[in-house]
Amino acid sequence: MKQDTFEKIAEIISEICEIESETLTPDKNALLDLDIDSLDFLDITFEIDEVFGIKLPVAEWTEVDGEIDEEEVRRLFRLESICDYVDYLVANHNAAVQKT
Amino acid sequence: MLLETFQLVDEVLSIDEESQEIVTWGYIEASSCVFEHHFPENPVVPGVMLVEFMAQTSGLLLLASTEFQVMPFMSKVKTASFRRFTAPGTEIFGRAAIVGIGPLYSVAKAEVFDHDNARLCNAELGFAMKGPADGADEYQFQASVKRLKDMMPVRSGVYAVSAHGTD
Repeated sequence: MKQDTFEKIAEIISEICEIESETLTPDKNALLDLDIDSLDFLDITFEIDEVFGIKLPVAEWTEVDGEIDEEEVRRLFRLESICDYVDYLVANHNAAVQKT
Repeated sequence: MLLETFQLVDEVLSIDEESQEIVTWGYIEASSCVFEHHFPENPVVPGVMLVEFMAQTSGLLLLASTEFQVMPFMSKVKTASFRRFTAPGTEIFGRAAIVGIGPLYSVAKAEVFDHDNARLCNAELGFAMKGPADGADEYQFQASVKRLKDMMPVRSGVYAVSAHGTD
């Protein structure tokens, strides 16, 4: 996880959810620890897409059949995991741009 | 414009699906009972009505941009500024542009102008995008879509279409 990525995402979450940025650490889970509701989460992912020029697969994340696997939620929505995924998408995007 | 029933957009004047922009029109009837208490002796269009006008304008644009497959529901007023009082008997123009569009959530920027092109208010609005698959009643969904489709300008270039059907 790049520190710069984390700081930008923490700033987005802090602004949208009115959460003190000092309380945001990479190990916090957006849904389980920070209690961010689905609407704010959509707004956060929208802002992340705008800031980083990527497209997070939010529709896929929310297409859950049957019971929600809590372990999956713990893994997927940890801030560190979100930042890693954003870094991955940004790297892919940059590689694709360089190819063209 | 029927303030009491929240039918605020009278006409879609133009819609450009390529640049993702729309212009709408509405006339604020001075006879509306809304002005009896807002305010006595000093009637002013409530700000919430102008926000709704911007939401309906943006919603029509989002509907057209998704080929009427998904219904946008205003879920967030991200920012809103009211720059002038709007009096009854004013005709207003709504302009909206899409900031970002997605299958679940979209954002639009909208503005309202008067006949002299003076900006009355502006806002950035968030929309939850919902289709029949999200539990909405299919019949009601299609009925709403049909009513809203009827408001769209005819593609041949005829840009004046009444809220109550093609003139």
